[in-house]
Amino acid sequence: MAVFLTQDTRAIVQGITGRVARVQTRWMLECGSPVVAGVTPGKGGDRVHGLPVHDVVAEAVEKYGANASVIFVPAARALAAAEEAVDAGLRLIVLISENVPILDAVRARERARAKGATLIGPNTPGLMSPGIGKLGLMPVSLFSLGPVGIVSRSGTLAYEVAGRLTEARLGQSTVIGIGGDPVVGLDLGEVLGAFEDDSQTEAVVIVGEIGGVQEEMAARVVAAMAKPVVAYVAGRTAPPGRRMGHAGAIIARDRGTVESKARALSEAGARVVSSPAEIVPALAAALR
Amino acid sequence: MTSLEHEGKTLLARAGLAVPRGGVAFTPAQAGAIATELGGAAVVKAQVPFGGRGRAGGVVVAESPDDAEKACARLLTGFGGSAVRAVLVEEKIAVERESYLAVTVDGGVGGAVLMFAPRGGVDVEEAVTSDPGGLGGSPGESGILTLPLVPVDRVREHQVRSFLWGAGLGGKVLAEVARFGWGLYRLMLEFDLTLLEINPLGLTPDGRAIALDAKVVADDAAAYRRPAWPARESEPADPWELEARKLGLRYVRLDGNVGIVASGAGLGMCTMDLVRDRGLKPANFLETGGGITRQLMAGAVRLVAGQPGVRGIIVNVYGGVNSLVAAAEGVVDVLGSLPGDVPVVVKALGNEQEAAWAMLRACGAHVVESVHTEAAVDCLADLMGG
Repeated sequence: MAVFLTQDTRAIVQGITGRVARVQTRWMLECGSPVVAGVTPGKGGDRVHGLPVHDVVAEAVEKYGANASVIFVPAARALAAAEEAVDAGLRLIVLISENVPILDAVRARERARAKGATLIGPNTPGLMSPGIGKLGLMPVSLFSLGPVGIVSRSGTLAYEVAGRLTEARLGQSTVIGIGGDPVVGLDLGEVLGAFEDDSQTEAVVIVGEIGGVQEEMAARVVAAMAKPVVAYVAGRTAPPGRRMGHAGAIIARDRGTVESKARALSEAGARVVSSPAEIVPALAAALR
Repeated sequence: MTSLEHEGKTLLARAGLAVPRGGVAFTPAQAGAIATELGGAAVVKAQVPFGGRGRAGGVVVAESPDDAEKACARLLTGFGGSAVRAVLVEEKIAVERESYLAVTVDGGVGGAVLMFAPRGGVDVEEAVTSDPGGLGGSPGESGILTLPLVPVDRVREHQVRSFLWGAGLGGKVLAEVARFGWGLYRLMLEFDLTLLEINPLGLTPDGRAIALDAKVVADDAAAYRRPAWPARESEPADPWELEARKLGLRYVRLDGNVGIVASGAGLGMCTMDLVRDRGLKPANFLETGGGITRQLMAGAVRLVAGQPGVRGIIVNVYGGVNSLVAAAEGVVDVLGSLPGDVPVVVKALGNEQEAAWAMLRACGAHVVESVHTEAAVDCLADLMGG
């Protein structure tokens, strides 16, 4: 059993007729992902890689029993797309779009929570459950099926860590990028809770970075977990006050530093490592 | 986008919130003229986009128009290492006490909050950023109280009033501060602000509230829908940062010898850390984003290669959205124009990686096939003789 993206998932692609979405849909299908239809208002009746395109999300729910969506729309339409997905009753919504206004992220998060839906993102590479498929951008060749859950604030760093685990024959249950913005739908701590409850997952890797308080908040969950947790936090050499790419990756005075995150996670019982090369040995020791 | 004080006050005044009388001066003569209009005495404040200005001498109390001219002339020579293009000349306000009032978006609570501290002033800013535990409606160690603004579009004026009543305000002062708090909330929504901070908020002996300073940070991602407002984004002073912005790269200039091009923020930071661990120094942080084109990659490599002191370059990318062949073509476009003693090491994994590697090797780049970033860093360190 994986988390969030499971054997029961039936996903649609919102914005499927866009340039990037077309390519990504093909790659999602090629690795067996349970994508059943697409939605682009005004393009109902088209087909993309054999998938039917509909004008509204509700129609895809009615016809195919869709319960999840991966959203590839421009930032200005991201909130509206997420709201449509929530209102149509979808349970899992992956908002890939980047540069979404922060108050729109707040609105999307509030809407999803009010209806009990799981919103991942915005500004996320999505998630991948090896053996089931992916909803998002992950390069499939780096992943393999196994017992380790990975949750990351950064897409590329999640790929790097998954690739190292795969090389060391440590497969993954699910790999989730929660998104690099200051406000995201699904929090780091909530992913940890899901991994703790998941029968396939035997250990968890947290890939953190400077900025925000996600790691500090997640420490409370780590403290209550029975499964071993290994954590790596990037950005030791980042200068304070400068935004390091992600809108959320900025050290404001003494808040959001690698040290504060590492301390919080370590005190909660996580094995905190200072370089990616130490992740595999730490996991191997924890799983022995 | 962080506004200057006078731009922030223009926004407050537009919403009907009280700010001191005054005007912006670009020359000493203009400063003197504004002071004369204000009755002679005035406060002259350097307009710079960073905090800590008062303590560092950027705010001068002038007793006469002549004083105001002199203060302006001195501040316009530059302040705190930053050029000063203008000063704000304002009336002096007699206040009974100073409070702190702000709206912001907080990742910790996943939403927007109103923050109030009965005692504001120079020390509260430190407390605000070091006290995330104060969020959630209970007073933190700093004495800052917070009201979650949820749902963000449905907050009512009476909620703000009740919150401030609970903070100990009453009577005319309560009504005045509540009007300010409500105004800040409305402005946050209208202008997509991530921070609107009034510190200090002056409370006068006759019970009025007036903004003695204003800091406004607007969300760059929402610029497309923001109503017109006389604040403009300042251009970065550093020519490399300006060029990077034009190219669409996310870039921070550092002061080292290894140029870094990465396809994501986390990977970029990780590469910086590993470069430092190997005894080298990162010259920059640079993130291309996922959709790498030939032009974008060529621009990125050319940019970091042009920085003084760069003796080696590491390109660390994952191809998820586009093919790595486009990235390789971009590197190849620039390789020939680099000095012979500046090695380029490329770690590129993802779509069509083998074709990309072959193309890069044929042109003299050093390709690392491993998923381990430290292998690329080691390779570069060896090539640089370190």
